[in-house]
Amino acid sequence: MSDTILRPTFYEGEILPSQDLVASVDAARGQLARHERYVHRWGIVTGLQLKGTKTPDGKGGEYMAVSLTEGMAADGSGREIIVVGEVPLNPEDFGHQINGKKDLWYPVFLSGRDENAASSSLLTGACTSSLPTQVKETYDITYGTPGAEQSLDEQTAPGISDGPADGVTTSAWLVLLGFVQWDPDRKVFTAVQDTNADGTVGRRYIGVNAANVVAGGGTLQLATHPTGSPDAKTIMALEIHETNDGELVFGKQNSDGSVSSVFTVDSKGDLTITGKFTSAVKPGSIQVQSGIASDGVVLPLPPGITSPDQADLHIHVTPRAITDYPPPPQKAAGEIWISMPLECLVDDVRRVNCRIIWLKAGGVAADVSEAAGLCDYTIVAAVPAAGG
Amino acid sequence: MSEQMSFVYVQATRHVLSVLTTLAASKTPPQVTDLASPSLLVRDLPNADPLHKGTVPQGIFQLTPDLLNVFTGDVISEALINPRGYSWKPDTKDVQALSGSGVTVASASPGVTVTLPVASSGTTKILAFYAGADPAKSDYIPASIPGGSTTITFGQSSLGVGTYVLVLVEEFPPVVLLV
Repeated sequence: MSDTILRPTFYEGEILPSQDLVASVDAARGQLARHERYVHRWGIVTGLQLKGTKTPDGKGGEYMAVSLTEGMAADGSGREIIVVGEVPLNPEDFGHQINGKKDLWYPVFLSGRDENAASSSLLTGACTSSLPTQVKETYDITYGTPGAEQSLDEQTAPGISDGPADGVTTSAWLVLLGFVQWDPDRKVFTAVQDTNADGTVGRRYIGVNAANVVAGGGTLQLATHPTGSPDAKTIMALEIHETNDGELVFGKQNSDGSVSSVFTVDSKGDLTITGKFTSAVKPGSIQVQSGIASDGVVLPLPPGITSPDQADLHIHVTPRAITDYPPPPQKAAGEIWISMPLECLVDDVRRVNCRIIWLKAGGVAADVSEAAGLCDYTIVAAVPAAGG
Repeated sequence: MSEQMSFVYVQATRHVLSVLTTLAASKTPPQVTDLASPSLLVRDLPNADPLHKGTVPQGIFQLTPDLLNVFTGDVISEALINPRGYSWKPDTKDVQALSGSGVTVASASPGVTVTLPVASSGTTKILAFYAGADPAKSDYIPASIPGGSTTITFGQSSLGVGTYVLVLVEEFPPVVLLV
């Protein structure tokens, strides 16, 4: 990483070396890359959807032919990645990279890479044979093991003054496209979806880093998809506008981009909703939660209670007498160890302190072992009659 | 109304450390801030030193919610009495008993050395917790053993002699070590 940005300049009569011309291009690319990675958040800009088509395999069964639609992404180095045209995913590539098993969701990644274009035989240097005069900004589609999608934010960011990564001298930056399933016997894809198995990680789209977002025309809208997007079942939007003396509205976005409000707050603070208002917290009400808790966990508040200040909390815990606790690690064959409660209380942040102690029958003072225990708990939240 | 069970697990290594059941299920299951804020208390774990079998009551650790997550599902009675014998499986969206055994966690005086019984094909993640400057939470050091390797020594600058360290090695039961 250089400690200052250098920008080439030229003078009359200069003998222009090729590296100065290259530096001119790199200066612009570097500036754009730094903008992309610091003003924006990396991800999919448009398209790049994994499409699956059920296809007969000629043996009475079927497989999923998966392709990637054209589109654009910006990776974490600020590099632009363009995929032109729809690209089929080759199952052989998956087979080379991953020892896949059935019923698991494997992440699919896109990364950018520079590749020298074939040199032109018509253009030769004075003393050398021809060299490439273009760099192809190409890409790779790779696969990961289940769970690899969890560590995408741990990828190494470039230095503050660096330009875009080339994917050759620097590690390729992975952009998550979606997930596929694999049949190891037939060596084909069998399913495709946008999220991982538990739905917690999905395709990442670009974002913006901003402390202020200011509209120029009196209306500012956040929406879950572009207006009219065919990928959306229902586009939801949140809009702040200056009409009607100023309002914040929430609801479904119409085809013309306006919002059908189901929730409106005006500039005076008046709230209007079209649905029902539900709250479990009524003044004078009692909310109860109970169950079993292990040592160290914090007891949750009853449904409807969001803060301990909303109600008077009455908490009761009782140690569970269990005969199936795992024996202490030092128990040897033939020994008899007996467990009994050591402590069972809730601290000032509602954290359970519940332990048992094991005593060896016929043992000496050192033959003890402490272990985490279980307790039955009940929390009663009494909402004051005048508040809540 | 059916009882549900929440498993509090470490995101990086997927170890389940605590469980809780709720009889009155709400529309949204408990979040990690509901069950581990300001911190999850973890203690009384087995000693990594095979010469001193037993739990280590002096090894007390406090894990903050940013390192944890919660899965809520059906009650698993075996996991209720032994939650630390389980780990979260993201690909099948459930918790399963830890299957690994034979890992060695030893003092490097200073630091910790972790040795797998056999090399794994993928990276094995490790987290080591210890008492830091803030008494309300434990500091931690991430480490990993690359695929094909079996051992790593780490934490020489932070894990001095006399430090109690909670070592979480992916797929293996948690242990506490006195450096």
